[in-house]
Amino acid sequence: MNLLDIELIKLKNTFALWLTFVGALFLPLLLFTTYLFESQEFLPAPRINPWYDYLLRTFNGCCFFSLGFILLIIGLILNIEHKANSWKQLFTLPVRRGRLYRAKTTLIFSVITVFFLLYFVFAITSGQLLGLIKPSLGFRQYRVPYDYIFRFLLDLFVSIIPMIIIQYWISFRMRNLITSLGMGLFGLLMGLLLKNWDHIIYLPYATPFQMLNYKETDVLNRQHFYLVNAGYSLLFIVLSYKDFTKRFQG
Amino acid sequence: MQNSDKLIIETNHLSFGFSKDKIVLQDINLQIPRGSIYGFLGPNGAGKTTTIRLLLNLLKPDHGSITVLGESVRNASVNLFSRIGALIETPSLYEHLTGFDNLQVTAGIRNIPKSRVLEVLEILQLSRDADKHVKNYSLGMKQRIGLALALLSSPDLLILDEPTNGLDPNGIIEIRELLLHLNRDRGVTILVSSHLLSEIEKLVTHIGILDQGKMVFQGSLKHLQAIRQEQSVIEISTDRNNVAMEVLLNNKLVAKIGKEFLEVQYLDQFQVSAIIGLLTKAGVAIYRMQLIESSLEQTFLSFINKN
Repeated sequence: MNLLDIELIKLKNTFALWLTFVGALFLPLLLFTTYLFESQEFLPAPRINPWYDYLLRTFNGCCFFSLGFILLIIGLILNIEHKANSWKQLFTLPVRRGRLYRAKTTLIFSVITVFFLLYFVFAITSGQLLGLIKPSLGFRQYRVPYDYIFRFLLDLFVSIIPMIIIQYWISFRMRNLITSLGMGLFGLLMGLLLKNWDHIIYLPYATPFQMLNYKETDVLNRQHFYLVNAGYSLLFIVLSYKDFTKRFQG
Repeated sequence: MQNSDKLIIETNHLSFGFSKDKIVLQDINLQIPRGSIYGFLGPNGAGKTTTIRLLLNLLKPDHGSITVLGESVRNASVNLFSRIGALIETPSLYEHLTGFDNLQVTAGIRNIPKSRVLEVLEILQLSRDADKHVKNYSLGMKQRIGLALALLSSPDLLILDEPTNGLDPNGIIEIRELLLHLNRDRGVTILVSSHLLSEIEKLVTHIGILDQGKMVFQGSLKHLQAIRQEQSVIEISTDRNNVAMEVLLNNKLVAKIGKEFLEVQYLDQFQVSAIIGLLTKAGVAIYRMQLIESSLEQTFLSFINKN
């Protein structure tokens, strides 16, 4: 059996799995109800595609709220092993530690990808529904700018990869979910406080906040941004992999 | 010293400490013969679990070497662990999953077919509860699922750390019967740790006693029984203990004057009538004669107290 399939078995009946769905639904539902009951506030100007304004709110919500959910999802996934005290059992099985590390990493990235996909599926569906219920909002008259969404998702994902790896590292090291989650939230808080710092791009937990008020023609220094995040991702993967395979005792 | 080829586990001068000040194991030379059931005894905190973790490569020794199934554990291939089944301390179970799913997780990693999972559930009488969530299991059922995990791969070597923890007397007997069957009929070598000799004395062929990180005894159960016999005495009370003592010593019996009685080292049942004959012939009146046997448990405790 594939190690990822085994990880999926472990995910059955867990809060992590529920959170992936409920967390993804949370903000789109909030936006939906706000647009529905305060529709006068959101009426678009003539010949303006309302999707851009709607999506910008969705993106900003994603930057603020989804990161907390992601930290919690990572913590809960690793907590499955801590709670069962199963690291020692896994390490006595005929499987290399490197494969266990890769399987868990793949699971985490898969769950986060599903989370974002669901988030945008729910957001777009909610926009379409709003268009049906309140035609004056204009959602049915304009096409959804998928390329805008795709570009945001790509940038956001690149910006959070180092944070995900660090949080994964902290979460397998810390048996206590509250401690690992607290450390992650502290990182996010620092990122938010230092949001306007010149060198903020070098603080992994702060990079997602660079995506706030994301414009299609954003002036992010993309090459530098990708390079820094690729460098960080590689560094943290190598360090956490070495720690997991050589030093971690479960 | 046993022939290395016949040993399934061998450690040489094994030492380990969690820090420089906290030495847990000192100079451990385990010798576990192939086909044996080795009882690894010691009080809580003696270092049994640490030794087992070292054998399974979960910890790295400070000094010494470990050979398991002919392979050095330090450079062991992944294949080595496919021949070992282990249960360390409390079983590692995913309580939100069913018993079947718990076994399926390990079976998947070990590439074991579903038919074997069902077979092991049957062996441990868990088939009926296989679809229940483990969080609803009793302690005994959890222990049996832990054993099932260890048995999945039909291992050559089973390492069980206090497997009867939390089991009622019937459960203990069932596990004992199962382990005896595995050893006798399938040739599985078993290392089983416990802090109670009484729990495993009907099971084991060999015993190692660990106390405060040191091996204080290692040998066959027969060897331990012989030591127990050496510690058994015949207490004798007579009208003239000094004369009786002289008679006994003249007849090359190992005797001493104890607090209240004469004490003669017990050798066998025929000795009792011989002593009565000798003392009667010497005109000594015997008031009382009693065999005080040392139990295996007392022998075990005597090793620990000595240390």
